[in-house]
Amino acid sequence: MIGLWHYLAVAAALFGIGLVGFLTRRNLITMFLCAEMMLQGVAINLVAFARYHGNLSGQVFVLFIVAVAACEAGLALALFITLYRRRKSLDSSAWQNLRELGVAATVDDEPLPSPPRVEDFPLLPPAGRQPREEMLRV
Amino acid sequence: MSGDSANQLLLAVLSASAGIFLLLPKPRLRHKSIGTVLSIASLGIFLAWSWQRFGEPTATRLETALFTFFSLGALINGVVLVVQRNPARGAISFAFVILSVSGLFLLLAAPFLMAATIIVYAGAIIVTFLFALMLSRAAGPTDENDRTREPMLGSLAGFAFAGLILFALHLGTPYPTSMDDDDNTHQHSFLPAPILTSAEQKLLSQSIHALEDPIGRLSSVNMSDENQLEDWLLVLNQALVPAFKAMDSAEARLLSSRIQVTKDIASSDPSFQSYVGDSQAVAFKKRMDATRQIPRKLYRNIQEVQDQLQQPDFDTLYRYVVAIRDELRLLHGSSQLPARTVANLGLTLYSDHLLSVELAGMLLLVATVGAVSMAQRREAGR
Repeated sequence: MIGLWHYLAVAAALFGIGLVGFLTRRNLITMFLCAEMMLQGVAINLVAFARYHGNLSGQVFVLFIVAVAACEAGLALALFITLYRRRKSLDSSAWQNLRELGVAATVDDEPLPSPPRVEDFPLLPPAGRQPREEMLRV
Repeated sequence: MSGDSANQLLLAVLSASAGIFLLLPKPRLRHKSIGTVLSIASLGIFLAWSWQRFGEPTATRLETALFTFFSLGALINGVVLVVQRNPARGAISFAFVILSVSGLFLLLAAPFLMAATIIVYAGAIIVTFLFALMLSRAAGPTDENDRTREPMLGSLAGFAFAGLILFALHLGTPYPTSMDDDDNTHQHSFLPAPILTSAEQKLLSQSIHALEDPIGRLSSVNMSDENQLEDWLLVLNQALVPAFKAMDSAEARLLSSRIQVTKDIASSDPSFQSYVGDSQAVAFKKRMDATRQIPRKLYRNIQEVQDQLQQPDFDTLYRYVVAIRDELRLLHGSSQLPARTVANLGLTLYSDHLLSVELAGMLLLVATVGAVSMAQRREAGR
């Protein structure tokens, strides 16, 4: 069998990755998914401990985590809709005037790379009568 | 030894932060190839560290392969979710994270949680996917997808946190696995699969089935008639015989193999002094002791009541017998992977945690109301 510690190590790594995503990304949807990933890391921990001690308490905890995560998902998505209606953007920095007093505002000074322009030439459909073949041969 | 391990962890943390820093979407300094190489390198160091520190996953090779597959799937897809600039694709890689975690749940003998997680998150992921498609604007770089907040500090902080947890695990491991590789007697951190042998399990389930008879017959027993009560107790005893046999054999086996051995090691090696033993075996033994107490309590109750020249109470007897049956069921289910854990989880949820279940349902209701009231479009001027 696989050791308890292996599961704990994987759970810690998953939690860490989710934390990095939550701290650095600015898209609200991605941040939400990263938070859910952190919850999954915790859930692995609890189930591994439940298995280790041979009882079901850990699994019961995880069921409640799933219930709370479902509530959180509903509220978060409702919040995203409301926020999107106000600012027409999913950027969490669009709401940075809610930040703490004395914290400098984030300024995006580097320009975003502009996508390569694709020239769209008009496609001309053939018009008029089709010339007969002997006329083309001349 | 310890410094070596710590250095390995430090290296893994640094290369993971550097790799994720390079992979995160931002206008400058995004090097996908170098970032990928660094991330894979740190994953490799992490794997090597856990192998070296916690020992090789032993027993079945299939299980080791499955564990490695699922944990690598979870970690790699997690990294993809974090560095992916398109949130819709991020939702897809999150789906793979969920599937991998469900696989880990299955390996940990939690089939119900696997199913519940997949069902709940399938809905959540589809809705998130729809949101990403609905709310993301036209193609081309945008502030929210192509910029990150403090990418270097963020990835350092996150991975330093994970590294600290791993270091705590490293310090908390009760024994160094690399101490002697040829001696496997102290490999007790492994999640031991069968705490009961199949013969013991069979005996337990025999008892559980046989107990239905005294439970059903209890209502027809005339409490004032001592002979009838005697007969009923005889039937109950008969039903309990296989269970007690199973518990005796399990206890003897656990004491000789998984509790006593660690005590021997502890007496021979001072670094094991604080290690009391295989906690699964200890917890299981405690549980069996508690289960044995219930029939004793039942007999004592009858004795006391009869000494006072009164009739035993139907409700009390019934409660005791049902408690015996439930405990036997839980003992039977706490042994192995099969889906019996599902039934036991239901039993635990609706006996020990009934109030919490109600509260969780309440919470869901409140969240639904909150979501509806938040998302509703308010008219201007109100």
